Amino acid sequence: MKNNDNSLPDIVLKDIKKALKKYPEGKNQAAVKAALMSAQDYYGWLSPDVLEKIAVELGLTSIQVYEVATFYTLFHTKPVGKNVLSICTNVSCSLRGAQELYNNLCVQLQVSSDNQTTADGQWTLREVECLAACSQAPAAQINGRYCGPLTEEALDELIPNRRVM
Amino acid sequence: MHAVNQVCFRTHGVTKPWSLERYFEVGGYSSWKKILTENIPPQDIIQQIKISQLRGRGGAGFPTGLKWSFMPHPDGSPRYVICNADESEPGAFKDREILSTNPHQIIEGMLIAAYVMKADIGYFYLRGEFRYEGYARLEKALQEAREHGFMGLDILGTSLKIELHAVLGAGAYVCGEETALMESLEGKKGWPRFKPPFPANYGLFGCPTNINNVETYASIPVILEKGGAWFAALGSEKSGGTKVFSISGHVERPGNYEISMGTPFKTLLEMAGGVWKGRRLKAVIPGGSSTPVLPADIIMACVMDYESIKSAGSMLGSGSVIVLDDTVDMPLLLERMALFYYRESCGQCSPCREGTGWIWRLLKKINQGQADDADLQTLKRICQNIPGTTICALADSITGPVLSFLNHYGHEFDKKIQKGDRR
Repeated sequence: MKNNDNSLPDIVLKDIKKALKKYPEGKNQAAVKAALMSAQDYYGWLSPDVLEKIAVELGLTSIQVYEVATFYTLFHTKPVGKNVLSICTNVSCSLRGAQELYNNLCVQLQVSSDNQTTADGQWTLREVECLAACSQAPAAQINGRYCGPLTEEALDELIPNRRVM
Repeated sequence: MHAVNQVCFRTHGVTKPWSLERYFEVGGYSSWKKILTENIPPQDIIQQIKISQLRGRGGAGFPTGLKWSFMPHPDGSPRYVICNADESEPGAFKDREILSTNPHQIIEGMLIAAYVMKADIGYFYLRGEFRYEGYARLEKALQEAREHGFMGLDILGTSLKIELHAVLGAGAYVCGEETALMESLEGKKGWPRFKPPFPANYGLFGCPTNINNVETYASIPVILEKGGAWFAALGSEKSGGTKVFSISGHVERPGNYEISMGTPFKTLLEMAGGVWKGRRLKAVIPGGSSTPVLPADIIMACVMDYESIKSAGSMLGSGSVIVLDDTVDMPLLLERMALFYYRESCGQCSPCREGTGWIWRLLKKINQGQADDADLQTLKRICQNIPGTTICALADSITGPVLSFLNHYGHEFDKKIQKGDRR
């Protein structure tokens, strides 16, 4: 069902307006990533309903929004936990123990595969590619903010109960 | 002579190297002011850049002065300049540091580029992961530049108008490829475009566009302030200037080092504290994970410039030096590298979409001890057949490393191969 009475929250509409100003007139599509990011900030993730609202707001087809939301890794098209922990296991980080650290953490948090959320809904764990922070290996981000090097000690502080989860 | 922190890192050494005050202190925006007050012809600027021998610092190493001269004559249609800040090559982390420690210098470089190529809009495209760091700092710097009259309308009292905007990607390695970046900027999936036409003729929104890397733009203001010859003399004979090398992996002090082109690898390794834990050097991936690996004895005889690394059989790329100590299991490391390209393939071209998956699965099979000689031959054949069959170079970028690993460390692969029946 199409909802022409667009009900995106004001803060998202404001962000969209700000993004549109960066592009030449009529290039609404260019603002789609900024719109998605803003909506994700607000809702936590991007449901089909939210994608549709963004399409209506920008005057795009549903597929134009959907294909962008599913192409880029920073967009969550499924619900995520309260915090998203992204750990790089690419070359430079794995040379300094990232793969073992990630594998151990999966066991401790009892999440079996990528993008899974802990039972208490606190943490979503993601194995990600190079974050351009190879000098802080193992590189990681919590909710988009750099937090490496992610050592065992750093993890103890971050998730104190991880070993008993 | 080995020059340190003379160009992109010239603001370093204080607590807030990114501030406008600090940038003024080191001579910031003086090139831009001089160009506008003396009305310096764009041709003269391009000439200085040619003399400087500056080559594209994103990895391709294309001469910047030459690239800037490719833009067609203005015909009234919009023209753009773009700064590629989508740094995602495994091992690369220099642009991130330049963005967060010296944003004004990149802005000044972009303004000069826009002036030379008669563009009135410019975009910084930063990878989405830079949102809270480089992007936030760049947005603030843009605001300051606008307030000081360096950009916007009637720049520094002239009738010149240039607007620069910072925008974010959202997670996709392929968007570092220039045409994929433009698609992404237009709000689409990051699918690379066929070339030709090249961006100079058909770029952003189908208009003439120049695109360079962060480090390239950041070098421009200093080159124009001190002269192309000064910059060229900082480096080696054919690779002018200094370069930021990102050194990571098995060293004591991983980090970015801005040093002269032509600096011996040995010196760079010493600056980074040497191989960690007192271990021995096994090999080095000299220019990011897409460049062929070089064993210790070869890299130790190299100097860090385009020519030396090329003649050793690899590429300087983005200057992302990954150091491997003597404990590294080479087939296992290669498997992780291959996984990256498989995951990041955009899926547009079959040889890449399927080929990178084949490469990864074969390497996995080898590491699991399940592979035989025929698998090894298949792996080689795939890597020989992919190059040149795809729109962009993403898949090519893993074939070079695979073949170089097999070439230099074939015995480690052989050890994992079942020597059973052969078909």
